[in-house]
Amino acid sequence: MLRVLLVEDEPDVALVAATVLEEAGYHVTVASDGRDGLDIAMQEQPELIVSDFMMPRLSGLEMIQALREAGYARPVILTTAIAEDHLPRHPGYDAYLAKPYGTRELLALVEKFRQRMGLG
Amino acid sequence: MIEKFPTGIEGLDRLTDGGFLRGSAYIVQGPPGAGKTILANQFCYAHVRAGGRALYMTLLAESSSRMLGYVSQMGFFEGGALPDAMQYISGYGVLEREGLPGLLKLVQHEIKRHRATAMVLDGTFVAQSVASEQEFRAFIHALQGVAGVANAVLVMLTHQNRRASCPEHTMVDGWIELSDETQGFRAYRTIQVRKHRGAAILPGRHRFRITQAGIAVFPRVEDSMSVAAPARADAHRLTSGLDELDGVLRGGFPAGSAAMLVGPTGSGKTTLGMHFLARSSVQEPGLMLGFYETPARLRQKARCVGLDLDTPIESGTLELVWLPPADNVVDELVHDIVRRARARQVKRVFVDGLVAIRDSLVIPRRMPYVINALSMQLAALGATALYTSEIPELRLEETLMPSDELSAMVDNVLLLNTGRRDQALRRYLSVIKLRDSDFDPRTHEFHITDSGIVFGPDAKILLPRKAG
Repeated sequence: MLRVLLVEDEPDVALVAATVLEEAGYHVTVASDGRDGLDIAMQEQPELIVSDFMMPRLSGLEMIQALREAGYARPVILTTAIAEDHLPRHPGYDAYLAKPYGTRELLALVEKFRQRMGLG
Repeated sequence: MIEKFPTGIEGLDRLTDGGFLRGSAYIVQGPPGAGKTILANQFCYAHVRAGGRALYMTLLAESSSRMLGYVSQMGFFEGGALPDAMQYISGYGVLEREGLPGLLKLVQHEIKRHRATAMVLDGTFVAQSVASEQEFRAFIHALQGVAGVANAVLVMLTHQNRRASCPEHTMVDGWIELSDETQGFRAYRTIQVRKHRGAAILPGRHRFRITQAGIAVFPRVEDSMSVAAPARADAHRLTSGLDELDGVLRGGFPAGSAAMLVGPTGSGKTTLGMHFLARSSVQEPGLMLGFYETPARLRQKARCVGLDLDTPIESGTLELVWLPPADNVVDELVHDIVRRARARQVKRVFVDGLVAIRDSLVIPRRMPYVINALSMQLAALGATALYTSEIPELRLEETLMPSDELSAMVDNVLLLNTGRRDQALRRYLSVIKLRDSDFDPRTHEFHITDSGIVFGPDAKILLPRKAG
């Protein structure tokens, strides 16, 4: 079962996204800010991370940067309400999902990475 | 002197004497849908545009990305400010897990991390709901300290209807209340600065609007405008556009005065006003504000009575402004008239239909004060104003003015009356009052022809004298 780390500070978004992914058969762990996300990712090494950008304590991009520096090479999907052209260059994420997003969009993107990784 | 951060809302800056004080904490209170979120966002983006850094932290469970989606449609939104100068984060999870002490630490940490000079805490009532009154009081006190130490402005939004005596109101530096009210079928919004330490506020309730451009606040004109000193004591007269009327007025309207043309429907008030406007020139630019007739219809009406409004309009010496009478904010309207008059150094102003202004007032008792404020502002610009006010037809022997209060607010009052005599409608003009001046006290009959107003009875309706 593909393990997904969902890093999201907005509780209603986290709840809906986690429920949808779990119902689709993924194993989901939720972190409510970038610092928790970083700790959990380092410890659990999930196959995929879905992370918000603007969060307390550590932003999504700061978390991704720290993860990449620590050698985490697995895909990260960044979700944010900020237009992609306003995001910094070379941010280290693999896909961008504009918020607010639909559950189908999220599932399709996660499924794409699952297939790319060849995981069942 | 403590630095002030403009709120991004011109009218609110006037109410608060320049905006939020740096290093201070404010409460913005109002029911759901009152406009708190828009006000706070508008402030943040104005702050960022001025070189500041802003942080918006929500304690609400609902998604701020949805809110951001809505805010991004508004005129004040600045996408380029995200994510560097402006950020949105949620403090809900921390509040839920760690309570008020955790949230306080988070606020401190985030202000420092973002180097924020302005911070919004949305949903402060959520923090109140997870703690005792005493804990909440300590939390507010600590937050105020955080704002002071960080030298930032902290704006707390809450929809809770808490009493004025509640601790948070006594502790914070400022308290702004937004209301969403209805009168009959009419809905309107008001804003009140209940408290603002270290600033001379404009007290009481003021109207505001929410449009795609954001919030616009309209300070009550009688409080915010009447301070202007009118440039009076001018012996100059302004022609009414009618030689005979100028004679009755002993040379025309006193420059910088305000006149009320009162009379029933069809008595010739608008036509007289158009005579006045037709004399607009480079030296004496004109401005008309009408409610019931479109500019196209007015121009046509003027042509029918031989008056040329087209030339001054096309040359830019006359501006016709038409506002449908529905749902106007009178304070906005008065500010707009004064702004237009100032921009073009207008000397002739004609406001046709004061009833539309009265009907737009939530409190009609304000009417004389509003007109007085407008007249004072126009007088300060050296403009002469004519207003029309409709009254029922008066019997000729009646001299009582129907609105003593209102006539006291203008310098000159002209009564235009109608009456039936010898099987024909006749029109009469009398001067009731003229500022500091003698006038012809007689009642003058006049009629309206295809060459405009002509004094004297209409030859067409004079009955043939019986022979012998």
